[in-house]
Amino acid sequence: MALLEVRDLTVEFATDDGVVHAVNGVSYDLAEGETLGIVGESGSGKSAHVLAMLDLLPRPPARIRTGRVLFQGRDLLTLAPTAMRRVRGREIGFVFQDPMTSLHPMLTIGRQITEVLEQHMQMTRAQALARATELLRLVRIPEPARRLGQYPHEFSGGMRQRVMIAIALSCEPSLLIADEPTTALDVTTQAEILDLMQGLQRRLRMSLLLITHDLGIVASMADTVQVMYGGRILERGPITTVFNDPRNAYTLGLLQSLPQADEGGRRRLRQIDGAPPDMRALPPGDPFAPRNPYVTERCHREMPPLRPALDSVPGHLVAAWYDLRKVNRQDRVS
Amino acid sequence: MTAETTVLQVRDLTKTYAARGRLLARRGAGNRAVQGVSFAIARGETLGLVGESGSGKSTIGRAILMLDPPSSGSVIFEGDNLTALSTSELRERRRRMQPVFQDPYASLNPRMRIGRFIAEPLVIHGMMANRAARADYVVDLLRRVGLDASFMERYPHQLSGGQRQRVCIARALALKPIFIVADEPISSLDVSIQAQVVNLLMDLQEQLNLTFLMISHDLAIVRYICHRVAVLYRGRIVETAPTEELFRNPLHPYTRVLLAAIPLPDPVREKARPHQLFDPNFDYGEPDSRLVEVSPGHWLAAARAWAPAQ
Repeated sequence: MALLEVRDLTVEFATDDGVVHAVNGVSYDLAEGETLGIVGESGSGKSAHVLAMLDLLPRPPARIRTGRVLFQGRDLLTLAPTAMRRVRGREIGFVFQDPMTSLHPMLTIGRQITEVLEQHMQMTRAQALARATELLRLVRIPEPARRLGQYPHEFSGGMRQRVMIAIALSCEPSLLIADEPTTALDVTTQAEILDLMQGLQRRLRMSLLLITHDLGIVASMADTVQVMYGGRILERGPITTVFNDPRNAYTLGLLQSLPQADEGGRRRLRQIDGAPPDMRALPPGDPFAPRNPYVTERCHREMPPLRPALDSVPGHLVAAWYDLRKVNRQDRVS
Repeated sequence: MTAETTVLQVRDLTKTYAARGRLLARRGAGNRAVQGVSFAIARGETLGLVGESGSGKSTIGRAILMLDPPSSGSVIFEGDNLTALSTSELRERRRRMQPVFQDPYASLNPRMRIGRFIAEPLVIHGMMANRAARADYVVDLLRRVGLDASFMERYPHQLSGGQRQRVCIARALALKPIFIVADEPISSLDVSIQAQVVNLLMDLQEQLNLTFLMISHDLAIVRYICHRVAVLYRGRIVETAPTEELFRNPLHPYTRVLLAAIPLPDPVREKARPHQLFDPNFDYGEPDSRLVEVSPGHWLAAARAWAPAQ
């Protein structure tokens, strides 16, 4: 049984300008110990669906129209608020992009960690303090005992993100959700934090759901990659397979638009034309159709289902009415 | 590089901020944002300025534009030392150099129509008083950045992030500058839009023979668009070289760590390679502003600067 089973999740937001269709029938599994990288841009539904399943969206304006989110067999969407709070933090840890807004500015770092431990793990103050020191050491913060007495503003961005990871891991969750955990950080700090998360994940045998816009980070961290666009999954599969043999035009476009690792010389990048869809007025068919150079007439009319990619490995799924393998090779190479 | 082709020459630029309170005064040199930075950019060239937050890269950009003038040193633009000019003389020179910033949302006035926003610099400088001629010119500018005339009447909130950055670029072009300081011009844009804006900047450079200072933390993009790269560390240039030379043969330990930290979009190689981590406890030392030319065009901060401190 998968640790997490998301089934047909649909989330929308009521706004003054109409209904934003943020997540449109998303289904996937996350196995124990697996790292799933979810790639997409703003408005793709990658963050919204995770916030919805953690019950972290204000309702209204958010509304979960359909779906089930089974975590260890229990449907998170039907849990009472108190039960949900126990799952959040205790069994599912999360780290978001901006560590400054996630930490309370007026409480010491120590208090913010011990609070979680006292609440979820029924520890005494002294036990919690000892464990907090241990956690800061685990996330490689020097002088942990002294740092516990400090406030968030006394920490650099990278150090604050380490604190967030320490809090997320404090109750040894079986799932860690990290939404753009390094986007606000410098590249060298990013490398540190990613290395740290990977090491801890292996040691604690956690599952990791990593949301990012950075394909380099996904390549480095993920076992499975899932590409989202317009609130849908357009492609999903083992990381090496999807990167080497993408079957969705958006995945291909993203991979091609990146500067290639070893290519020298100044040149134009391959670009994806057009702009992401207006989530208030999604086209009836494939949301990427208006920007897709390989578009077929059917793409405009009908949303393709997510189904196994032909002649590929198990677990490689794609939503496409066209067959990218039939695209002129010349076009793909240049 | 001959004098005729040099558009910008920065000499020994230093920017200090008065230390207020203990936070800024640590380590003695903490109040020196930029220390003795020198470089030149030739006509039509793109120089990349890379480094981490706090390395001083944006400070240099703002000092060159005289938005936040240097504490000492000179900024010689088209032969004139900007730091020695009167306000009116400076105003005149500034038309020829324009900024493009990271956040197009913050740069736009939410209540001003796009057409007026782009024409505003012309109005400020008293150019093109004829309204019809000005409107035609704005339409030309919009076309140059890939937008059509219908954008004239729109408001910023009706535009996507990529369209807003195009509008900011159109405005920067209004006064026909020869030099653009682009400070993280794509880092707030969606991945699928970044390549569009990078290509637009490169096309404009070719069409208009523009010179760029490209400030960025994204080394992968810098490799694609810059002719030369200067690496900043703690407010000093530690290494500068033609782009390919720098990427193939980085010499300064800080440059090496920086390049090694970029995750490659290649799962097989990325998972196989050892990750060289930046050791925050390792002291690379205060970099020196003396650069030595190691190979043609490849300059490195003097050796003693990066010997580990005892």
